[in-house]
Amino acid sequence: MKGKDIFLGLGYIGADLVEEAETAAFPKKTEQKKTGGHMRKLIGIMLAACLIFALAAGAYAANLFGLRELFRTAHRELPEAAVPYIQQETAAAQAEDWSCAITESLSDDSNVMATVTIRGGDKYIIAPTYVNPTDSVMEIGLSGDQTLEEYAQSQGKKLLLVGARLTKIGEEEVAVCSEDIQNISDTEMVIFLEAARTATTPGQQAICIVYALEAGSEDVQRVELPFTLKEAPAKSDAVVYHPLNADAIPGMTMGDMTFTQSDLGYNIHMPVTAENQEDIPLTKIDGLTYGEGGYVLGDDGVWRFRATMCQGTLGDTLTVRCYDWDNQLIGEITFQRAG
Amino acid sequence: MIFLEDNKILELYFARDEDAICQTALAYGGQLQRLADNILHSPQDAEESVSDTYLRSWNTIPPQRPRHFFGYLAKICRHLSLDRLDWQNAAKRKAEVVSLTQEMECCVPDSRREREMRARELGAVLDTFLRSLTPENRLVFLRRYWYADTIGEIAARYGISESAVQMRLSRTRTKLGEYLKKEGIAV
Repeated sequence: MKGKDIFLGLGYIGADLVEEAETAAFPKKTEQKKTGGHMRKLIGIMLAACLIFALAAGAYAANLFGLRELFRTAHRELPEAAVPYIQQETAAAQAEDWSCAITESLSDDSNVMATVTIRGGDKYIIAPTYVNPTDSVMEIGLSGDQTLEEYAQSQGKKLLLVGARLTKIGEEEVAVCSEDIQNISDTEMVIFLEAARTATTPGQQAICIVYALEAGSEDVQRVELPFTLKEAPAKSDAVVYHPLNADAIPGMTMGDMTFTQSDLGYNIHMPVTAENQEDIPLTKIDGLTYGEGGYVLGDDGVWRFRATMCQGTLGDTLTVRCYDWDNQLIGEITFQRAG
Repeated sequence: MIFLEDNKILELYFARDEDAICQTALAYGGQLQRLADNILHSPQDAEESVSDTYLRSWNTIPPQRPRHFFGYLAKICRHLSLDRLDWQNAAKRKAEVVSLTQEMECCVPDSRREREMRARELGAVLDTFLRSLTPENRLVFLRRYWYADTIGEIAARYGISESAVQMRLSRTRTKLGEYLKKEGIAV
């Protein structure tokens, strides 16, 4: 059997699955326009986000599951310069049998990060949404042969699959929000969220949506947690680098690379055109370290290389090296500082 | 712009009112065009596939009354687009669909028995497998292999990183490989 057979075989799955993939889950306004206003299946129960209590500031900042620790797990060591700008947050909500709270945030003019803690209380074992109830308990950091649902039953609890994302920063809809999770215990999880922003106004409000699905249920519960950003200040004007050999990577053309700087480090933006989007390579810049640099497709249809909180020194030239997904070098491009 | 609900559009089909096609196009034309274009990489060919989809739906409704109208249309559109796809030429062009099928080779080793498996039978197995996945993994898998979306498009659609998309696809392909083996398909 070939991949083609699978691809053709998929043509015979149920129409309900096809429709679900077009309409369900992770709703965004831009996507709602595409669906022509038809109802989504997983509309879910909107829970009134009752901001009922202010978690003691830094309830989790003081332990091993604060933003600094999660950033280290997701990327690398958080730059020391960023530490003073970590904000203790207080937005929290109590759903029927579980609760959630924004614990910390960190932002500058290009990036917003936040940590969210979700607690299952006496009723739920907490697991991320991408697992299956029949997956191993190792998915939540436990050892043993039990599946998640077996483990939940053995504890006299139910399994709650949870996730979170930043949906709005100021007036901007968030197109891409990365999510890294870590279980603190079987009933508690912390999620590290990170999203890009393009417009900065001091004191902007961001909105985090926490969603939860009890295993076996079809009702997605959603809780909205708004919080106010306190950005690290910008440090200098943008610096632009021109590529001297923009077409050095087969099938790609690199545009100008723009650096902005805040107290958190450099933020990089570079538009690219690619003949085949699947060939977009891993990209590294000599002399600069960054967490999760990568390519993002913008609403304008343009791919951009983006990296945040980069550390290092900018010289007159920069060398960008591109690697395929087997980490083999496929080419390098030299950039010259403009002006 | 106001879109008719699915039931109202279907009533037009049953009344043999040609406005049914127009309303279908208004409600779902964009999505169908995108689906066909993802497969064919040719706006003109995609447009013809979508037109044929309207014709096929006109000829089949009634007697059929699909419960999931968009899913029904999308399945027709995908079949017609794949029929229109010249696999040999697509391979030469490195078309997305061909690379997608190659991406799945790792979980489906070749064998004589598998070659005898007809797509329809395989579809039933895949249907069961997909329903066993978490909603998120199912959606990501279907966006990639049903709608032929790129990794970046899926990441943007669901607000997750591209690496998270890759990870979920990789895990799901592995699970699919194991599932097919259990079903005696990939042995």
